[in-house]
Amino acid sequence: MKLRKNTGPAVSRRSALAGAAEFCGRLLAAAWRACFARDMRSRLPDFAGIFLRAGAQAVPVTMLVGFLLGFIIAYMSAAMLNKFGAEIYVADLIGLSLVKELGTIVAAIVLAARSASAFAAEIGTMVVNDEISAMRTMGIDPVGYLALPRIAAGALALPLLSLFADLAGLAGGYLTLSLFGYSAKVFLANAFEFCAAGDLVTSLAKGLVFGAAISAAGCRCGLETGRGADAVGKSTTAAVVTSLVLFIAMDGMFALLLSASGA
Amino acid sequence: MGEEREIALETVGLDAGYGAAAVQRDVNLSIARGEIFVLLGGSGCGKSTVMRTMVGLQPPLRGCVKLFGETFAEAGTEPDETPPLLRRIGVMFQNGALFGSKTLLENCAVPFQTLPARPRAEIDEICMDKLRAVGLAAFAGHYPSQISGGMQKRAAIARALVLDPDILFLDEPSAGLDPVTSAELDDLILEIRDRRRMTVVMVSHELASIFAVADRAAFFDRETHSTLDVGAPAALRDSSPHPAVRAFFGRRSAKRKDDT
Ligand SMILES: Nc1ncnc2c1ncn2[C@@H]1O[C@H](COP(=O)(O)OP(=O)(O)O)[C@@H](O)[C@H]1O
Ligand SMILES: [Mg+2]
Repeated sequence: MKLRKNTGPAVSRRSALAGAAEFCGRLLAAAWRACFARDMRSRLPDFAGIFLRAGAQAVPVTMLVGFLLGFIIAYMSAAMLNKFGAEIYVADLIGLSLVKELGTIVAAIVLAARSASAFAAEIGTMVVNDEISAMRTMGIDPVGYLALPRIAAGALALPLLSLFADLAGLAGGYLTLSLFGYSAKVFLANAFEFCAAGDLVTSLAKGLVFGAAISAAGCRCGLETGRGADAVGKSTTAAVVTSLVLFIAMDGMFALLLSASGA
Repeated sequence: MGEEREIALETVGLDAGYGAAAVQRDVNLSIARGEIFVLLGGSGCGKSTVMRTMVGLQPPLRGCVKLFGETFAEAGTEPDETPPLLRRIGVMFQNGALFGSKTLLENCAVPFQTLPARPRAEIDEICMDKLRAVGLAAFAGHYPSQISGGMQKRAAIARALVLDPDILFLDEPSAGLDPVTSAELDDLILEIRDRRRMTVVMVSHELASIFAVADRAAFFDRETHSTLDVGAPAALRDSSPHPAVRAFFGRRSAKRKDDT
């Protein structure tokens, strides 16, 4: 913890990258300390509450978006492939793209929009209200106390949400194919033809990392909140934008790495 | 002041401010243990900023802050991670700064997190004691949003007192309180000082309160960014060479007393 770090305006003279690196360093230090903390049990209700809001309560909207995406992609593809009598390949397309990418993307967008913003607003309000300053005078590290449980909750929530998005997307895809007269049995038999269990594991692991990154971006924007009436609004907006850009950059990097390693 | 005067807080050539701009320059204060010291000055002159620098929230732009003879914050040095001296101070912020998601009792229990584990019941007992002292025992289960602004301030004082600090910092504790509550607060401040020889550094505008509790006061000026005068409130009122200081105490207390 940098106790006497300037809490002034969010715009600092340091480069954004140096600031982000410093935040990551503080985060790792806080995580390390948390591993040896005596009463992590007392922090459990905190974590559970955040997880409930960021994860469980996001299930309906995640499924809605997932379903819509699955349905639209399947419908558009089926309309094309129908010309070659190959619309059953829609099942393969849907299964593969959801499990490998789209499920995670839907969950990430939902997490950024619902929770990164909420984290920034909650923590930003605490900054404006001097609650963070009060914490620091008590010798409590705001990064460990506020950011860490939120990041853990986000990391856990995103992979689970992506599973719900996958399920809903498959349902949307099946709805399309049922319009073309295919049975559920045939749909399911084809949907996972090109996916291996390894694909699912990879995408869940990716989700874990993205969930942590999105939540971390939200928390950091909150902690960097400046002064004035519009400060919290600004950091909320910054949280959504930063976390989405960060997610897309990381997803691109993952794709490069995975293709380089031949997966 | 005798030889026995034990210094609790000292600022040496302290410049307090944000970024490059000093809000107050060259603050040299030496506050004794058991003293109640008031920071005075017009609104926006930097009282809160000086206090934030004293408690280590803002890095000094120049000079240093010493607590009990140990350097606590110094310009240009990389600060400690968690200075042990933090344990010895309690801070009440201008708006209370209670944690909105916690009840008053839970708010008071937060500072215990940095200490070795203790039974929950024991912590609750101590917290209830402090809440009782500020007259809020009946509201222990309330959230900050469910009580009035004045009550929030008192709860914040209870939270600042919960670890029995050696120095208590209060930023405008009595602003916005009714006269009776304000007088009760003065009594409370005097009592905790007398009981534990606690040092109190506070920002206040309330003349009645200043005369009731303060041993000494420092007057900050907004235009010159400097400390105009330091002394006992009555001395500042009656014999400060600075018109701004006398004007601050003016009319209500100084002139009326002169007339009689
Ligand atoms: N976080 C901050 N960043 C930059 N300037 C600040 C900050 N907080 C206060 N100021 C400025 O510092 C000056 C002194 O503020 P403050 O210490 O709050 O005054 P007081 O408590 O005496 O009313 C004001 O001009 C205010 O605008
Ligand atoms: Mg102030």
